[in-house]
Formats: sequence, C-alpha cells, structure tokens
Amino acid sequence: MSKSEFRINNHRSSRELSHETSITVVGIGNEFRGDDAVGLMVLRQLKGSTPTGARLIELAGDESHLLELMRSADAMIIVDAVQSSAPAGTIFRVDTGRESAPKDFLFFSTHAFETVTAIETARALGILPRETLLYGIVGKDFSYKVGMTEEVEDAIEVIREGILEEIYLHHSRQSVGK
Amino acid sequence: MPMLSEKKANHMNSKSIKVDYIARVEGEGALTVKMKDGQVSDVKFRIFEPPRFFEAFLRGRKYSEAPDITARICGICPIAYQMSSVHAMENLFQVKVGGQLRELRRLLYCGEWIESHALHIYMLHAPDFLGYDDAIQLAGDHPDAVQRGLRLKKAGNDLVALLAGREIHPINVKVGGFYKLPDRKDFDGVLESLKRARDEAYETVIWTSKLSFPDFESDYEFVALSHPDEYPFNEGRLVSNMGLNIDIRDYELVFHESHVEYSNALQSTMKNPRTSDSQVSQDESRGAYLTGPLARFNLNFEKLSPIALKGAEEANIRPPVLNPFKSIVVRAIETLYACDEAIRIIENYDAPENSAVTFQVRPGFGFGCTEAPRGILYHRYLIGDDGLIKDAKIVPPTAQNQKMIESDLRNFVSSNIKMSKQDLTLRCEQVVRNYDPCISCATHFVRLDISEEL
Repeated sequence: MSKSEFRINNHRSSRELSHETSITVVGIGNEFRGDDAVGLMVLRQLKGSTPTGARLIELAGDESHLLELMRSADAMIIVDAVQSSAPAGTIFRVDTGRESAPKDFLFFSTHAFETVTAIETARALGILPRETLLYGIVGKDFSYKVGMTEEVEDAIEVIREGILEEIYLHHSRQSVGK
Repeated sequence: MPMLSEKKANHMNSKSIKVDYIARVEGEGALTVKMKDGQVSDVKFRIFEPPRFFEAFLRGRKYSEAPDITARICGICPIAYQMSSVHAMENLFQVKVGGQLRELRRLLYCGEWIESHALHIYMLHAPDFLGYDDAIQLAGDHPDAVQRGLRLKKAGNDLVALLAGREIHPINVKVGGFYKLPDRKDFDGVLESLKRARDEAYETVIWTSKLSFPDFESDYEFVALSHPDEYPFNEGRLVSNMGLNIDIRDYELVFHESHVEYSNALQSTMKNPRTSDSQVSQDESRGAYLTGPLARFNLNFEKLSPIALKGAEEANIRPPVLNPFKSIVVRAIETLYACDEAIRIIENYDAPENSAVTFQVRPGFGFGCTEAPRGILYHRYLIGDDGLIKDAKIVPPTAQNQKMIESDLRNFVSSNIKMSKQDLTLRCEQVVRNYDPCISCATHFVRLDISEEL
C-alpha cells in the first residue's frame, strides 16, 4: 500500500468537497481486462494537470456509485470503454447532460448497473448534473490481461487533452457566470 | 428480438430460450434453456469468472499482497475477498484477531453487505417484480423507493470508505488486523446515517414483503457458516440443513469443483452426506447446493438481532424459506441486521492500542471462508518458506450456486411451460437474479444481446 494514497475518510469530506469542486471526472474500468482499463488510465494521466478543485475519481465495478458522485458534482465527465464495430481507439463524445445516451450504447457498455443506466437513472431522479459528458473509447481486447492495445493507448492523450479543454471551458463559463 | 417462426417451431416441436448476456447481474453470463416435446431438454448457465486468472496472478507474490490483489477480483464485494484471504493467512500463521479488531472487521463486512444488498434489492432485482425493464423505469415511477435504496447504499459506502481507507479498492485491511484504525469520533457522521439507514432498511423489509412472488419452491440443501454466538460474517463452521457440519479446512473434502465445457467457471457440487468430521467418504455424489442469504437466514435465523427478527415477523417471513424469489425480502432483513449490528459495534467501539497483532510467517496451507453478500467465499493458499504464495485456490459463491441456478431454471421452466416465451425469458433472468450472481466480479464490461432461436 502506498502511504500517500491512504487516508481515513470521514462522513463530511465529500460534502465539504462539493462546495469547492466545480467538476468531477470519473474514469471507469478494470485494469485486469485489457482495453477495459482505458477509463482508469485516462484519469491517471490527468492527475497533476487539472486545475485546483477538479475532482478525479476512479471507479472499478460499481457504476451505481456514479449516482452518489452526481449528487455532489456541478458538472461531470465520465470516461469509459465501449465495444463497437467502430475501429479500436475511436472516441465517442456524448453530451448526456442535454440528450439521452444513444440506445446503442447499451450494447457497447453495460454491466449489472452500468454507466448509461446510471446516467439515465440520475436523469429520472433529477440528480444528473446539468453538464454531463460521456467519453466512450472503443476497445477490442477485453481478455484477462494487463495492458491495452496500441490503438487504445494512442487515444489516451487525445482524450486527456480534450478533457482538459472541457475543464477549462467549464471554468471560464463559471467565471463569466459570476 | 427475432421471433421464432411458429411454423418452424411446430415443425421442429422444440424451442429454446437464449440470453447471451444477462443484464442486471454482476459481470458476464449467459443462459440457454432448450425445450422439446413440452419438456426441458437442456439448461446451461454459462459464467465467465476471473478467479482462475487471479490464482495465477497470485503465485510468486508475497502472502501480504493477497488481500489487496484479491480485492480487485470484485468491484462489488472487495471486502469479502480481503476477509477470506486474511483469515486464510491467519489460519496458517496461527494468529487470532480478537476484541475490537475482530469487531472492526465485522463492521467493515456490515458496510459491504449494506451497499451490495441495497444495490441488488433496489436497482437490480426490484424492477423484475414490478414489471420494469430496469432501474431507469423504476426511478421514473417510484423515485422515493430508488432514493431510499441509494441512501441505504450510501450508508454502506460511507462505512466501507471510513474503515477501508477509500471507497474503491479498499487498502486498509492486512493480515493481523488493519494498517490504520479510526478514532471514536470518526464514526460520528456514519453513526447518524446508519441510524437513518436502519429505519429505511426496516421500510425496505416491509416494502419487499409486499411484492408478488411466483409460486415456486425447491428442496434445497442450504450451506452457510454458523457461529455459536453471532449471525455469520467472518467465522464459523460450515453447516447445512442436511447434516453437514465441518471445519472450513475440510471444505475440499466435501465440495468438489469440476470444469463444464460450456462455461469457463468451475462448477461446484457437494460430495456425500456427512454428519461429523470423522465421517468422510468421497464416493457418493450429493449434487447442487445453495449458498447466500437464503442459506444464512434459514440456518442462522435465531442469531438475528431483535429488530431484524421483528422485521421478519412483520414481513411474515420465517425459516425455512424455500422460495428463491423471496431472497429479495431476506436480503432486506440482512440489510436491516447489518445496519443494526454496525450501530452496536460503533456504539461499543474503543480504539485498541495496536492496529494489528504480530505473528510469525510460516510455510504451509492456510484456509479461509467468509460470508460474502452472495454466499460463502473460500480461499486456500500454499505459502513457501520465503513467505511467497506458491499456490492459491479461490471459490466464489456464484460458482458454488451455478449448478443450483441451472436446477432452478430447469424446474421453473418445467412448471411454466405454457408461459409465453417472452415472459418465460424474463422470468428465467429473474431466476438467475434471485442469486445476485457475481458472475465475473470485477468485469465492468459486458455486451448485452438477448435473442431467441432454435
């Protein structure tokens, strides 16, 4: 265990954080399933390069936790692997804050309680942040292994830059709003 | 969904239900039910599970890495994997973790049961009973119920986050105890939310008890841990309603895993009946068994706390519960118990001086079995003189329930052969979800494809 990673959370921490956090970026995946790790890897690439206040969260296996994160987020960017007939490394960007995720996405990325269900359930409950973006990266090898295919690796930097731009745009919109 | 041509179906006099990937079960799974001449001719429930990969991954790692590595097997029940692994190591090293450290482990397990059960009850299983495709529709029509489920789940999440160091990939559990202990005051916020959660868990018991349950019962052999003083989480003997009563180190003398061609998971069955440790015979097949909430409830009912017993009484549910569809009510009762037990532990908590007990690493075999939300989770390790893992065996609850799920599907379809194929397909999925199967625990990625074909 890395000592620097460890902290005892307390009940108030997330609430306090919500007051000072403008945007939450969630990377979803399983690092033992090849290309499925891409959401986590994008998030790790973002660490250290986002403005103060941006919250970076890794999720592995329980996408229903998105609902909880949404309660305390003004804006959210979700990064997840998807399966599609499109070439590996293709990036989908869906403005799920404004429109429903395409039904086809259910075919691309689903789980017990998967990302799109979480987004749509949050919308039904009225807790979906007004700004919610979903980045889906097409993978092709989801077997039990550590490491991603080259095309997916190559997409990481593109998404990282895209997300950084989204964050700065969000901040500038907030500043104008003030 | 492509429909089977009526003419073709009549001509063939056979039909099949095929669900390539089942939504609302954890991970990946698929089921096929074939019928011929009004009879069920074949049932296959395929699961793809990761423990084989992790067993290989563990070899050559230090004994102390097992809790954090195995926690990655399941995103829903990482604590169960941590607990079974530390108990296996402590079994080998002859370490006894008692007092408040033992209580804290129990508390951590309460958190996992609450979050896992709340997720399954409200988001995955309830839509089946209320005629919805998914939680999105449920949230649209019953937002208060879904919000209640989310609050319950959050109470569990907060408890796990507090004790495990963080919500995702818990890292605070180690062989001998914990890396770091919480102070008494750290529990203040969690205690308040658990008290609210206990009230809402009670409401959940009543809410689930009013659902409509298909008339379906089976003569199950239920297997669960049993402890003389408590509803089981971490410790106890393995018992059944048909005479099993063994130490967990004898698990592999009784439970047998075999590979079935259509599934990459190993399927568990029980060997011969036995009534005591001295009566071991391995030649008589005993077949499928059921582990999980129904088994725990039926075998440990009297160990539930007064409020959980009161909830069960008001819900008019008492052992033996033989209808697997009623597992949703039993999960609610266990959630109520876990909230109540967590409150008891917190109210009596006094931080111990040391976060872990000391021990000497020894070579040999270590055995661990604890009650994951879905049932018994068995770990066995062989540790070398150098403290490295030479071999690991992990048997998750879903692999143990797999054969019983097939049996339920066979029985359910046989008794409902006249039901429309669409309804039967949905009911078959519900039969699978009765077990809250963690089919490939940490697999976040699944493709959904429901089809029906010859």
